[in-house]
Amino acid sequence: MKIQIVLFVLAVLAPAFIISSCQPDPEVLPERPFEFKTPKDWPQPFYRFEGNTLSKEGFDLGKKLFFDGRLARDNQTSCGSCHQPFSAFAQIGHDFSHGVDNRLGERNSPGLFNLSWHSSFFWDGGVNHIEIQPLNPIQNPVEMDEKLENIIGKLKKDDHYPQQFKTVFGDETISTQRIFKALTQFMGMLISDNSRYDKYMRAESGGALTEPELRGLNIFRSHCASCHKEPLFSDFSFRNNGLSPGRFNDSGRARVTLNPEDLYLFKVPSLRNLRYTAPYMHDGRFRSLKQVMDHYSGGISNSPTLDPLLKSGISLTETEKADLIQFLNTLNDEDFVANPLFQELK
Amino acid sequence: MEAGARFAFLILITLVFFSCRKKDDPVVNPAPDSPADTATAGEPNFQLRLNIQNMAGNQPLELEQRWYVTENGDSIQINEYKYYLSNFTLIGDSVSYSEPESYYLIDQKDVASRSFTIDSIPAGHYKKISFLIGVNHERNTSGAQTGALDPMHEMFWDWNTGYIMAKLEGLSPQAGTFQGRIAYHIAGFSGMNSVLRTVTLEFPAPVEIKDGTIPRLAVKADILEWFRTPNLIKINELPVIGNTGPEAAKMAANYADMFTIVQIEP
Repeated sequence: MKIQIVLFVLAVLAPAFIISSCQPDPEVLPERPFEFKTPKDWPQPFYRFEGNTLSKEGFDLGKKLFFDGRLARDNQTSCGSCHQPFSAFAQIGHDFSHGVDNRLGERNSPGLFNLSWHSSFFWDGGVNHIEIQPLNPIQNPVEMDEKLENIIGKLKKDDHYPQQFKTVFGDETISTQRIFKALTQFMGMLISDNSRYDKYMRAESGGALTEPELRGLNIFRSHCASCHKEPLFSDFSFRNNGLSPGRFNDSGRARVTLNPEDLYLFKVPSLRNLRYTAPYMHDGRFRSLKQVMDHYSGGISNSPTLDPLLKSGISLTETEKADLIQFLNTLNDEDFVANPLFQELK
Repeated sequence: MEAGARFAFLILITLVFFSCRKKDDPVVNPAPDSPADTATAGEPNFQLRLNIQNMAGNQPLELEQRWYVTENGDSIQINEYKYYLSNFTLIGDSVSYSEPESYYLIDQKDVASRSFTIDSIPAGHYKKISFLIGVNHERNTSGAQTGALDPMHEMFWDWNTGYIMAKLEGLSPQAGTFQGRIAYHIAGFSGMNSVLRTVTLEFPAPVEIKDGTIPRLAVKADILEWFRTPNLIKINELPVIGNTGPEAAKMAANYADMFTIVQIEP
């Protein structure tokens, strides 16, 4: 009699108890499969998330860190301060960005997209791996000027970070390696592959190019594409493109290699998303694409390390320049800059 | 009767517990960020204990207190002294063992860093030990590392990727620099710029690795070798090294022979 009552109560309560105690935690369970996809007809990426398994939680953690000012000494200057989503993760309107205490850098903050295809980072290529790229701006006195141990101390005190690190990495330990891997999950997933040019190449709707744009594409392919190689619009080499040494006499790649042959060489930037990333060049000296055209057609400054391909400049008529600019504007990826996945969570 | 109820309750608890493993343990990606524990429980774990003794000539090195005189007659005081030793390999006639995840940062400020144990060595008689001064090419090119290789130890360049294999900082009246500072950051892991040096030390007599005893190997490292041979360093000519290149390689060639075995306790 007694045991029957007990069993009856258990039979009724157990399923309810089990179900209520096992409600899926929306913060924990992946929303949907999260994977890195190489766009059609693109080369294989250099970085393939080896030893850094992608997850939505890891990506979200990386995004939170990217926009978190606590990675800087002043608790305000985040990665996102100089790399803004609406600016294709450059900082529009700034030749040089402001770090902590309003300190100015000496090189233009580049857009961040398709980074998984890069085998080197920074204008001089000094850093050889995406995972350790964030170390430089974090420690740079004119950027975030913070010590790694301070960052770990701040994140440990946060109400949410320890649990987020546990979800992504298995326990609550917050290490520099985990911070960098999470940041890389965010940065490595910033893929920009949906400009009108991309749709044109995939023969999709919305991919029509006008006559001037098509003429511009042809000019591009005969004069620019050897360095700005499709589809990433860079061959990621280092070249002296004939800029006179700027106000800082930035020696470029030679700063890292100390090789005189590398004097004034800079990494070839992608030409995607130019509409959002002005001004242009390593020191942001050109505010418009017209100025860039004029540089290549008549402003090349000769020097011993000038790229041989530019010895006599690029001969362009005014119409050709206009066509080329029209083509370059087909590389603007509105879907990328507006992608909700890449915006800061407020 | 009572036992039956208790049994039913036990089943319920077990059910609830196991049905909720996922919630209790929401591991999406157990990251391989800690060195693998190669010793399996139950197996005997044969070990060798190493102790690195930093010396200046015949005296134990002291930071920020003593002045030492280099081969060239320059006075130096040391206030920071760190270097990586890695890829330890023990070699015998019929047996050899390379330690996996073998990275150690020797820091003169941290006594504990100068003693460490090599684990999971196959039993046998070993005649020599070899190791790298620095961090191998692979770990300089494969992204974020942890443990001894954590960039938090300030032995990593953020502007020109690579580990500082060895770092010596201090003062010298001969330096001619601001406040007479000297600073040698020795880095470079590839090609002409590589400062990686393999050191092989022969044991005076074979060392037996076996169950129940841990041999202790004491190795001294004479800091004055940095300035002696094969490249005599004159501090007024070379007070600072802060990039890869021939000067860093010169210094690495000098310190490559600073290690000698002083004692083995079987």
